[in-house]
Amino acid sequence: MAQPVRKPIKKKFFVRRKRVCKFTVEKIGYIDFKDVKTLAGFVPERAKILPRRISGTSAFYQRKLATAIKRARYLALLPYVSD
Amino acid sequence: MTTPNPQRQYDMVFLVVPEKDETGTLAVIDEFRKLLVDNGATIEKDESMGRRRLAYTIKKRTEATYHNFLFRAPTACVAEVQRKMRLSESILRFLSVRIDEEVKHGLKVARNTKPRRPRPEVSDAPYSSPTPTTPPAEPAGDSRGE
Repeated sequence: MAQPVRKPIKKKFFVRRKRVCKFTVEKIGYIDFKDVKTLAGFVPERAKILPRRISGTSAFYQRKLATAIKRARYLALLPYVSD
Repeated sequence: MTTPNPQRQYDMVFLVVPEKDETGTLAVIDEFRKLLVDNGATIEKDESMGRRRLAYTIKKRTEATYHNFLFRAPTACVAEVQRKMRLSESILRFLSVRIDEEVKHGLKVARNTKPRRPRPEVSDAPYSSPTPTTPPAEPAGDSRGE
């Protein structure tokens, strides 16, 4: 057996994508529940609301966004579930 | 009541049943527009959102005509319009939301918050600086090894 090549222990760093809150950047004060185009970006395939740890939305806007999505769902603009 | 009642701003969306043809749909919309105005509402935006596919079926319908009113009105007016909508056979669904305070607060927050600066790329720079004096070459008795 050849001696195992020892690699110096390296800490792995994941390349962190720059996540920024879209609403903060664009200074959107109010997230409109009729604006399906914007909302659809936060509702992936499974029709669940995208968590902010993934989308990077700020806490304030995540709350507003959730409300807007729920309103849009009631009006059948967005699905509650999708298969 | 003598207290000044500032009129609230409402955003109302309703779905007209798809069985109505274009004139029928317009008649329904006109009816509610008139009802709003008669009850003291001032309409600020009156917009048709068109005929859309529903994201899920409502009462066996798969599509409907959406219409949106943005208006200021006293509470009694909204209550009355909602009551009529509930009774109407040609309204599939409706939603009215009071948005004045949400918009006001949202705009205030938007003005006062700045986007957070992205985190610095690699945060181990201060830790790595003292280590280069001890290179990790052939650490025979490394306890961390196998």
